[in-house]
Amino acid sequence: MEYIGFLMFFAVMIGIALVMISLNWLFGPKTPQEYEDYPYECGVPLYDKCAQTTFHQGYYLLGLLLLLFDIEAAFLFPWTVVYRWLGIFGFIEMFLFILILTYGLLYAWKKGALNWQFEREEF
Amino acid sequence: MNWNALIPEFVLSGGILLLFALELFLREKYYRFFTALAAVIVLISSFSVLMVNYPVSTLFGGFSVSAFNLTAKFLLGIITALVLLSSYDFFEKKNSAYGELSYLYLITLLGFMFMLSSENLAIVFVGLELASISMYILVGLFRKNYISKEGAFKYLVLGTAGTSMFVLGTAFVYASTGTLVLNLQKGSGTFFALGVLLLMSALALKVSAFPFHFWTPDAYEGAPTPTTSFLATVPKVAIYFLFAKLTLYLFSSLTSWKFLIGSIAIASMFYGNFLAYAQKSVKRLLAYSSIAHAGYFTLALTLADKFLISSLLFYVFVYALSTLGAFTVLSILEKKDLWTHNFSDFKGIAKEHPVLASFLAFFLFALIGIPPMAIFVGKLGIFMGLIKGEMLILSILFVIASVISAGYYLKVIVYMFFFQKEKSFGAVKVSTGESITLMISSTGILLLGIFPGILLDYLFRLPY
Repeated sequence: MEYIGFLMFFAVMIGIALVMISLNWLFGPKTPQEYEDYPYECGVPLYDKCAQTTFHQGYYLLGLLLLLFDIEAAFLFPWTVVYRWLGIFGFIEMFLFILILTYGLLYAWKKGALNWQFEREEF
Repeated sequence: MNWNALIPEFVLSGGILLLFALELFLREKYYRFFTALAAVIVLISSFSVLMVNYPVSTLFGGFSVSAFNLTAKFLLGIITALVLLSSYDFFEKKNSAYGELSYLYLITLLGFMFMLSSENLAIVFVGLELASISMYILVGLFRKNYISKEGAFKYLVLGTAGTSMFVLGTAFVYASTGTLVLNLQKGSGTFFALGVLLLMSALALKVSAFPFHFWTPDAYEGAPTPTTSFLATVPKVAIYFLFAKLTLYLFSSLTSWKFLIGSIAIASMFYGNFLAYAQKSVKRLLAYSSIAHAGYFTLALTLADKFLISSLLFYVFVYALSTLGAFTVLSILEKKDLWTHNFSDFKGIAKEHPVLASFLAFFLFALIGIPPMAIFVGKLGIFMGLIKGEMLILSILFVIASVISAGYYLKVIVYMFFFQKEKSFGAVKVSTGESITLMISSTGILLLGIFPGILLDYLFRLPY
C-alpha cells in the first residue's frame, strides 16, 4: 500500500500523455505533407528509401574522420597530465603528432571528404 | 637519445610528409614528378644507411640497428625505387594516376623498416600493420576497375585475419616467456607452442605459403601490375628477413618446429607448382609461382642454420629482382588496350616485341633456376644447406618441385616464341623508367649469378 502514490502518479502521467496526443489528433491540421513519413537522416536524402538498410558511403567516411579526431583528443589528455615532467621533448613529440593529424584533416578537406552533398559514387 | 640510428627513417618520413603536402596542393597533374621525387627520396634513404653507426639501440630499447637490418633496409629501398620508376607510365596510360600512389609505396617501406629494426614484438606488429594497411589501399587504387577492388577486399579480410593471428601469437609468447623482447630464449609448454604456431601462420599468410595463400592470386591479378610487382617483391624480402630473425630467436627452440614449417613448405611447393599449370592468365601463373617460391623459401627455415639463412636471404633478393622484371614486362604489355594477360594474347609477341619477349624469357629462365642466372645460386645454397643439415627427404622434394616448375615457365616462353600471332593490339612504347628497371634487374640477376660472392659473402659474414 505504500506504493499507491507511485501508481497514481503513473496513471496520471499516462492520462495526460494520452489527452495531449488525442487533442493533437483532434485539432491538428490534416493537410498531407510530402516528406511527412520520410525517415530523417541528418537532413540528407536517403540512399535507400528506408533508414534500416543501406547507408551512403559518406557516413562511413565521416565516422572514420570522427574516430581519427576523437582519438587525437584522447591522446591529448594524458599528455597534459604529464606535460610538466616531459618538458621540451614531450612538447615537440606532441607537436609532431598533431602536425601529422592536421595533415589528415587537410587531406580529408582537399579530397572533398567533408562535402556533405554526395554525388553518386563510381568504382 | 641517439638520433643517428634513425637517419633512414627520418629521411623517409620527411619525404613522405613533403610528398603528401605537395600532392595536396599540386594535385595529380604532377604525378610523374611525384613519382620521380619519391624514387629519389627512397634512394637517399637507402643510401643513408651508410651513415648509421651500429650496433646500437635507441628509443628506450624499442628500436635497434644492426648490420642485419641495415642490409635489409638497403635492399628494400633499392627494390622500391625500381618499382616506383617502373610504375608511372603504366598509371598514366591507364588513366589511374592517383597522386597518393607515390607516397603509399613509401609508407609501406617505412612500415617494413620499423618492423625490421625492432626487437620488440609489439613494435614489430605496429610496423607490419602500417605496411599491410598501405598495401590494402595500394591494391585497390586502380580507377574504374572492379577486379582491383575485389582483390583489395580479399586481401584486406585475409590480411586482417593474419595480423590478428600475429597479435594473438605475441600474447601467447608473452604469456610463456614473460617478455616481448626477442633474445635467445628457451620457451616451453603449450602456450609457447601455440604462440609459435600463430606467429608462424601470420607470417606464412603474409608470404602466401600454402594453407594461407587464398588472397594471393586474386590480389595479384586485381592489383595494377606495378603494384603487383611491389606486392611480390618488397613484402617478401622484408618478411623473410623478419622470419629468419624470429626463427633464430624464437621458433627454433620449439622441438617440433622442423615438422611444422617443413610441412607448410612441402605443401606450398607442390600446390603452387601444380596449380600454376591450370592457369589461363600469365599474371595468375606468376602468382602461383610466388606461392611455390614461398615453399622453397620456408624450406630454408627448417633449421636455425647460418648457412641456410644466408642463402635464403640471397635467394629472396634475386627472386625479388627477377619477379620485378617479369611483372614490369607484363605492365609494359598491359599498356596496350584490351590486353588481358591471357595465354592467347601472348601468342607470337616475340615477332612484334623481340626485346620485351626476350626480357620476359630471361626472367622466366631465371625463375626456373638456369645456371648463369642468380636464382640458381640461391637454390643451390638451400639445397646444400639442407643436405648439410641431413634433411635428405626435404632436399629431394625441393629438387622435384623445381623440376616440375620448369614446365609452366617454359609454356609462356613457347607461347611467345613458337606460336603465330592471332590478335593485334597495336604498338606500345617502353618508358625510360621501365627500361631502367628492366636493365638494372636483369643486370643484377646476371651479375649476382656470375659473381654471387658480392652479396653472398657479405650475407655470410653478417652477425645475426
